[in-house]
Amino acid sequence: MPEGDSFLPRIQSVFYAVFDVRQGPKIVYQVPEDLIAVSPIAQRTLFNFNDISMYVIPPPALCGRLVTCSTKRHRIIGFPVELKGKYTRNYYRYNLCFVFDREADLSRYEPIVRKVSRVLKACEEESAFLSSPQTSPAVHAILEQLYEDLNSYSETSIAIDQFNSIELKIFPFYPNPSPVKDWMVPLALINLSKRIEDNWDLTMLKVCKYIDGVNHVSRIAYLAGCDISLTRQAISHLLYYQVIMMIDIFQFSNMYTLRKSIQWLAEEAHVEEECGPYVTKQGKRIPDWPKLLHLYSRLKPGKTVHEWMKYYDVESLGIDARRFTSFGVVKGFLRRVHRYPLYLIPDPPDSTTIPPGLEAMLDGEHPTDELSVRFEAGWPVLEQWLHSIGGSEGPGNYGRVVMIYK
Amino acid sequence: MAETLLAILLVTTSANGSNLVFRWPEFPMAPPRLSRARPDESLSLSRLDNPWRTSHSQEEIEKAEVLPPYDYARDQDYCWQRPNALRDRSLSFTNHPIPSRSSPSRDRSYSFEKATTPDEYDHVLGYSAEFLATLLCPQRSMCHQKFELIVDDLAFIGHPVCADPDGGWRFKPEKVKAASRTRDEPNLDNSASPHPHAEGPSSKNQESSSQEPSSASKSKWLHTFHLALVLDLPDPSSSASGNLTKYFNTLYEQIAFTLTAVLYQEQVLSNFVENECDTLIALKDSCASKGEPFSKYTSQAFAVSSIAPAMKTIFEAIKSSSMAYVNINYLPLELQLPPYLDTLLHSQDDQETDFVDPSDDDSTLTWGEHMNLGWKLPAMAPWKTLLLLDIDNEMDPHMALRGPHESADDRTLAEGLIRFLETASVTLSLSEMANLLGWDLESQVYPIVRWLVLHRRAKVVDVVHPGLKTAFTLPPKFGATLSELSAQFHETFTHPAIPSLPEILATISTSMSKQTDSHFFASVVKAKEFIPMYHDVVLWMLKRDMLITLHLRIRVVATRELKLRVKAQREYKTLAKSAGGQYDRQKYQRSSDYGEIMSPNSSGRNPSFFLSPRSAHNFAHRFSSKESRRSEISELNFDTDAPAMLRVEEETESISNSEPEVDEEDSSWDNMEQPSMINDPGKATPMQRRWLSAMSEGKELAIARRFELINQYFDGKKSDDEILYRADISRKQLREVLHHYEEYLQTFLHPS
Repeated sequence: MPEGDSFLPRIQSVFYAVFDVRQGPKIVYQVPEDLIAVSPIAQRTLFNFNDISMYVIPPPALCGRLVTCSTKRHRIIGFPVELKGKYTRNYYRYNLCFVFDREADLSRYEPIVRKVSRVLKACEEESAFLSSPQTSPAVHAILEQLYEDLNSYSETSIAIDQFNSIELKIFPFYPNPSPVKDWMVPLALINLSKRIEDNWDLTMLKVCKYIDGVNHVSRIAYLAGCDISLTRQAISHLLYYQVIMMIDIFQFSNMYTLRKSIQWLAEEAHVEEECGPYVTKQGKRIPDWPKLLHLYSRLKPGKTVHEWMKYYDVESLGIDARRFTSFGVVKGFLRRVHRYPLYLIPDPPDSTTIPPGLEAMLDGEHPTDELSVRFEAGWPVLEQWLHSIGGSEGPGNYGRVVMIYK
Repeated sequence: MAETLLAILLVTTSANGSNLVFRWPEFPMAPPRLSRARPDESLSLSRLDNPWRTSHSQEEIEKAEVLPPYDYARDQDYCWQRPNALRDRSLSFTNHPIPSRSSPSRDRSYSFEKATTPDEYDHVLGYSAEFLATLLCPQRSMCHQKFELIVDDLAFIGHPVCADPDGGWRFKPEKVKAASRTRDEPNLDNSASPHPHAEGPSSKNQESSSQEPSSASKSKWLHTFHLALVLDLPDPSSSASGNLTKYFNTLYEQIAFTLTAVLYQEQVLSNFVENECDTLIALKDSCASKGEPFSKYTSQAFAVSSIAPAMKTIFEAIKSSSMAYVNINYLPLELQLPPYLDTLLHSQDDQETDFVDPSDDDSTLTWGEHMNLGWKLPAMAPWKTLLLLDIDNEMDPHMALRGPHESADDRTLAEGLIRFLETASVTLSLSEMANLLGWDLESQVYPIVRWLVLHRRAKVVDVVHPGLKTAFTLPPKFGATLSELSAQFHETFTHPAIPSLPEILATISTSMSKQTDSHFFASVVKAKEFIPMYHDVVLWMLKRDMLITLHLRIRVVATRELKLRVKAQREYKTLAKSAGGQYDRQKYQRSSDYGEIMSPNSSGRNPSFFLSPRSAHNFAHRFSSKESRRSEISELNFDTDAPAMLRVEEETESISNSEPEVDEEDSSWDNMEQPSMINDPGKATPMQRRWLSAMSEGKELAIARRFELINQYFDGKKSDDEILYRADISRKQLREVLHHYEEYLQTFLHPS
């Protein structure tokens, strides 16, 4: 994930504008002072208010909508409001706007702008807070606090009157995670058990215990005694906050292949240094990096981890094959090669032990991990089924079932 | 394509006010956007309400479950769906005018089909057309710059331009400069005509800018015009932060700005936009007054104007992700968006990161700035080749280029292009093509490749062996489902010797695990006479991105034996040279705990170097890694270990930077007991050079010389094709080196 995700853009200016009965759109208060030019000759300003006044105090059609407009170097976000009532022109229009740099990502500020406007609207409707000359100067203090607090602490609490206050907190913005599948294995990136609090969601509490980089989602649901869909939700919540990542089910029948990123990751100090200690079993001597790298380079599609271990005598090196492969996957230079069985000629098979529905899923679109989880069978059993569906012609051949590795 | 594009609008202002002159599609519609939770389809609503469940008996709950639950998860109107081309094209109904302040998208259920009301003319996207036109024509001071306005879920992007205060239209000095900068690259620019160096907007533009003051047109009424793109604001949670800005910028630069630049030029030169608007406005008014449906107006508009059909073509081309060929005032213009632009808005798929290469800025260099984002282009290199894609006859460059040409220059260029197309083949690398044609690679071949790729007539791929002895593997995802692809394949290849697509894929799958003969010929083709036929199969699959060529990369390892040998030799030499310090050094070697980390020539130096920074770091690290193994709770306890390591690393670097020579010597000697990688043999340290030359001891002279020559490419980054090209050796010669130096080399096979 890009690091920019946790970075909040800075508020350059906050201003409050109204539709003045005589002068038209007009900035009443701005913080910091005089940053936005109101007369054409002003110097050292962000931009001229006249340029954007039609979007700040717009006609009724735009009121009640979140409006973002841009000048050459800045972006102005506001929520113009029009209130009908006993005003001079029978309406009162105002807007409280935030100014940012042109390139700023405002998605995290959108709810803030909406909320500020909503609270002010309530205040105005209840006590004419904005329009009455007695209380309206208080808006300046509100602007000041918004500007200072949101920039410094990303949250604020401003009491307006006896009943109303503005409570704001800017939350980090993350993109939605990709959907969680039952055959995926969550792997913790932080020490989850240290973070658990008693008032967490019940499912989350139960689910967290079984996240160990080995259990897949549907097994976690079974072990924790939770509903599978709730488990999926809990896992995708953790995924959203990027404290876990998803890897695949480890079986010795798995196949892996190198990715392009090995080109530069092989030279990264953090990969080189973390790899040995992580993949070696306790108490064993840590193999050197060239040896480990060589072992990684020998993982190929079509070669199972089991075969690879036998061929290179991985066992004697004290390497934990599961941690070895998951390290590569986590670092991103290794990728699982999935098997996609495809049944060529649909004939009714002789054997009755094959679970119903399996044949229909042999269309080259479902990986064996999905089939294993769905029909609750490990690769050896699944392989047997595939043999009997396809009419086996010997080991490594499934007859009319072909196997695509990708 | 831009899936978010909703409409293209042309608005103008005059002294009488603003006018929405033309829009396409006829009735744009924003998809409904709801900020509600999406219920899980497997849960009924009552199950979510835990307080209610606990306060009711089991029977009551079951009774409640019997009630037919409303299936929100499947309700088309309830869920927000990614807009797609098919749906957008079929939009042919109008919006009910919405006077209320609610969002334009909220009253969708009231839309009715083909209603013939005057509202058709006056209401767009829930706003009155006139209001929208006012909104999109900003103050004079905001003209001649990028325009961006976002209202709820609608984003308006464009580049409004206006006349000078006296009503004259003339080129702005700085604007012309900005516009011509993007046009200075012939062949490359979107707006350039398909004929290289043809008479296009670029040349005209420059001419007119030189004779600036004279080339001004006086308009009768036109103050401002603005060609705006209306986009459905993408769901912010669907993509990483910052991508939206890039996305908008691309649309702005590739479509809105380019199109406006051409319109502006034509307005200045011949008052073109005003004349077009005159025609369109008159037509619209007469159609509206006769009560004719809006569609009648648009169909007539296509006949009388050139802007209106251009807007339609561009909209449809963007939606179908193809190139838009339009004519504006008899100026041919080509516009397109990067083919993978929309992926910016989707959450990053892990598999796609293979395309992103952080260490590689080549693509910007070889393809140019504007073909960087959203193109996913492999780097263009002499050892790559070109795969010509299937093209419609209509757009066949042969046809286009064989047409009448005015100048002899054009004809030679056209003939050159045809010669190139006839020479190009996936079995020849670009440099071989250049040699065959007698062309210069950089100045003649690359521009044509760029042009062909930009116009989606070719793509850059890896060279395929003429005998199909290339190792392929399958990508993790195909563009379409396997059954579709199989059906297409079956239609194309009917020869009985060619098995079905799944069988070929399965054979390729297993081929990689074989020790020998893992290439396509040995695993699939098997007989020489089938080669031409399978050539077509390979091309068919390459065009659909169903094959990935695997490349060999090589790294050099300095083994322990080698290091010890070099060390012994060196010690022997120094011993022989200086008899003086001999005793001391031997003593040090035996007594010191860090014997292995001490450089033989460091004995006379500052004692602090006895423990080099690097070895101190290693020492510290060995300790910390033990620590991390002790904790079993977390899988990868990066957060506790990493910062500490990082700090040590930084210190090491800062120290080693200040005293590079010392560190180089020390660190090379320190891990004598451990084999290590020589990451970049081309920039080897003196010690690494010693190791490299020691590898050649006892080897054949010719091979040793070749190894010396090419080991600079053994950095794990250069592919076999690249090494062969750069070192100018044959594959056999490379194989020889690999064989003889086997113990010191590691090979990696992965896609590039």
